[in-house]
Amino acid sequence: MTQNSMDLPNESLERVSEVLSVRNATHQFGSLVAVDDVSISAKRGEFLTLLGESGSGKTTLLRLIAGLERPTKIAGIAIEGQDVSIVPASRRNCTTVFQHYALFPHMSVGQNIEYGLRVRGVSIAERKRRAQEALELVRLPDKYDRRVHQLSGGERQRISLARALVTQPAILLLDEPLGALDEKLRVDMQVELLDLHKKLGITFIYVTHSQEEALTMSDRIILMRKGTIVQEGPPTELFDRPVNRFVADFMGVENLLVGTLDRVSGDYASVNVGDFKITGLWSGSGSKTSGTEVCVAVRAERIRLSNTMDVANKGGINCLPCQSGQTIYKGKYVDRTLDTKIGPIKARIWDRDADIPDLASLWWREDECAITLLGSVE
Amino acid sequence: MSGFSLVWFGGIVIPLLAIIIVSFLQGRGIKINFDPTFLQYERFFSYGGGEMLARSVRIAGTVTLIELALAFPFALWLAKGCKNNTVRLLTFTALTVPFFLSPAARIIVWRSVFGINGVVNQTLLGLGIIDEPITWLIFSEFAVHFGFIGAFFPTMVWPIFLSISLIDDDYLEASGDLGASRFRTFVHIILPLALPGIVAGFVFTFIPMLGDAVVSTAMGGNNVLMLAAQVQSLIGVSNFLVAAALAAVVLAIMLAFQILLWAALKPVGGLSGVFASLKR
Amino acid sequence: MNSAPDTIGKFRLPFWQRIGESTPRRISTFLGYGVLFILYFPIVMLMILSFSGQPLTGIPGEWTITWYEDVILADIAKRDGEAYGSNFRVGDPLLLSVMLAFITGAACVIAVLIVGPVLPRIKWRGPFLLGFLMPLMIPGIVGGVGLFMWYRLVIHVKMGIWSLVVAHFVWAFPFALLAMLVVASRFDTRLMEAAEDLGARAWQRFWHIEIPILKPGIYAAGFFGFLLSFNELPFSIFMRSGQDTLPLYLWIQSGAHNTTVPLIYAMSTIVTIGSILLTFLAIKLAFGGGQHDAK
Repeated sequence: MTQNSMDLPNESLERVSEVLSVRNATHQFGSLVAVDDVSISAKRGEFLTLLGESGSGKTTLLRLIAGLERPTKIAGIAIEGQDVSIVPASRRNCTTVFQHYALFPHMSVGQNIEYGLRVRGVSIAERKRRAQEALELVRLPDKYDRRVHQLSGGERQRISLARALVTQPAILLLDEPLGALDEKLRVDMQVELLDLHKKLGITFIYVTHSQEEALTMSDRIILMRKGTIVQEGPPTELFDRPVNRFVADFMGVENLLVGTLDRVSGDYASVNVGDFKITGLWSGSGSKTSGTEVCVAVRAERIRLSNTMDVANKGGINCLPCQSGQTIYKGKYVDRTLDTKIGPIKARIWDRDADIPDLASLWWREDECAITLLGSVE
Repeated sequence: MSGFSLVWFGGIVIPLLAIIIVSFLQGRGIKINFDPTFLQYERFFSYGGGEMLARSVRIAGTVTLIELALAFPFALWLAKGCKNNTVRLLTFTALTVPFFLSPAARIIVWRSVFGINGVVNQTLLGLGIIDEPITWLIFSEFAVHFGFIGAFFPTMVWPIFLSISLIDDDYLEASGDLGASRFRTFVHIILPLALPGIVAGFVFTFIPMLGDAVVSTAMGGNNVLMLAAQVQSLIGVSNFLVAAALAAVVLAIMLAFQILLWAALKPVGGLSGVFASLKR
Repeated sequence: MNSAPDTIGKFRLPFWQRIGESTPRRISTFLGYGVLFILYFPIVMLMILSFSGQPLTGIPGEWTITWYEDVILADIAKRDGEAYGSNFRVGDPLLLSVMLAFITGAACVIAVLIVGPVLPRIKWRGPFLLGFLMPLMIPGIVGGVGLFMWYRLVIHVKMGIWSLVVAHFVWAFPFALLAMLVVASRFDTRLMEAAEDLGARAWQRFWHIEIPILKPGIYAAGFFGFLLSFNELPFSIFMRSGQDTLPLYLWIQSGAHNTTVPLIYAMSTIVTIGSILLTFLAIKLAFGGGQHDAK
């Protein structure tokens, strides 16, 4: 970026585009450390997902951003460039969509949605207008006068969304909002949320434990474990280049083989697993020294079957002799477990015609597997 | 909250428990001498207080047990057997309203009904069943028992009813499913789970009964002297300290039973457990 | 009474669902309602006799409202300084009781709003609850004595209207608290968080969210406070000073074995009917609104 004499406009542009900045946040509940020295930032209009299992700290972090918890220790937290560390939740320019909706049972749908405007002193007519707009945004235009208990789960979710959006916050926080919905509804809502996000251009910070959800919706994922960030980046990065075994496992990689690193050249790394040499794309962070214990991560979909070992002779292929193990029919695909000398390998066969008699080997392309660190096991 | 608690505990709980201390004091009239002594208790027993104590506990105990016998089946039926919502609602109301009525108003009519010239006697005389009016209907132990039974029925029914209603029907089904006979289901499932309610009912019935002076004087007059009523008359003659002793005795009995209640509630998680089940 | 069949073909309903249809049931309901009859008989009889000519005999008949007239007239007469047949002045006690009842009711509502929402969430809720419910466990006479002794003898404060207020509040508060706790323990605190998140400040959360949802409890507390205070007798016996409350007055009069008994019946009937009506109103307001699903 070229230096120009007017540094300030660039700076302020950056500041405005960074809508959230959390630096070194730590939060403890008694002796339990929920969030351990975490720093994150979010850009304006970004769809950021905090992903992790329960206890990873993702919800706590969200609450710290919302202001519903005061962090035990923090270097700084700013929303839209303004320091909000001493600003209570009611004054921060962000709202939350809760997992169990938290709709006020004694108010009508319309009154629920208006509430944020009501406490800001907006006039009655204006409130009603904007609430009606919000209702149309979530495609429930004629529910204004309904009572909350008359609505279905999916409808309540959308009302909860409308309520949080009507105040036009800089950041919308969503705490596992689709967790209480059944499968079909969840998938539909994911699409709707994405639409909304695109339409409104607001920053969404989304908490979930489902990696599929994260992959579907996010611009960027922050994967957390036990209060710390394990990996952050766009979905493809976490999907294809997990930084360690935990990430690979969490993101659903079925085959995780442990071996020792031989060497790394360029993007590729070769690994000794048992008697076999396997090559893949290096995606670990950190030590590349020979002899380190590493993990080979290859997805079941990438495994192909063959009735010969000839494939091994082609370049850029990893091939292992195998025998047939268990087969589970899953409708759209078949899950096959193949037994090899280095352990069972799972393969997912989408094309039923690809079932091969006289099975001899399985193989996959080198650039379709990742070599990554083992990471800690605690 | 803390402010209020302070006031409450300081201004009310402590005084209530202070009777015990006062009863160990001596003095005359309003002047108190803060030297501990058993004097008041001696006076109490020489008064015939021991007999009064025994009588009060006996009557209260008897009536409470009768109440238990009457209330338990009724509560069981109301909780599990009665499906008609109107009947339930009306019964609830009937069991609730008496709490809000004047205790005196509920009782004094019996005097007229049971009196020598009252309805009962007149009817019986008229029908020729008796030759002379029955005198023991009023101002007698019979009357006191009778008065207590009606008045304290709701306090026994409510806790038992609540604890039985909280028994998930699933448990009963499971029990039958596993092969238990109706009797065994009753003994092994219903009884233990209803126990907190039974104990609570016992405590909420027995204790107020012990501390009651309204019903006992209205129905028993001077023929049946009971503890709490005597306290009232002692205060009336400014014999505060013996009154305190008396009250302390009653209080001691009450506290003993409250400890019982606490112990019985412990298996179900104590009072917090009761809260939790209220949340359902 | 026999609605659903208890056998369908060879299938027999489990016994707890058949509790309704058998002899044990008949016995227990008979006994139960029998006792309720005993409980209500005097109340109903009271009302009937108050309109009867010869109430002291316990036999209804000779319908008349003269007792009611007497009640009113006796009070008016005394007020005007005239002599009247019976010395039954019901106006002042009535006024005192009503005043006390309002004060107690208000005090209960305030106290219950302070304690109610907080109690289910704090650590020491067991002991605190026990402490607050203590008047239930140390009833009437004993409680009255205790309070009386403490204030009069140990602290040397004279009795007065204030002592009646304290006594009535002490008596009514546990009931009011219990009623409020039923509502408060179901209160979803996440709603308060949601409100804060949306921008509501503390007083707004209290006023917009907490109070409306706790409304049934507030009504119950207020009504319980009022009714329990109005009809309270045992504590009042001890904590009184010169003036008598209505129940107290009636109680003293009834102990006096004289011709005012019919008037007592009449006044008691008025009070009883009023109390019953208010109780219905309270139950309706407190629990008739229907349960809202907090989710």
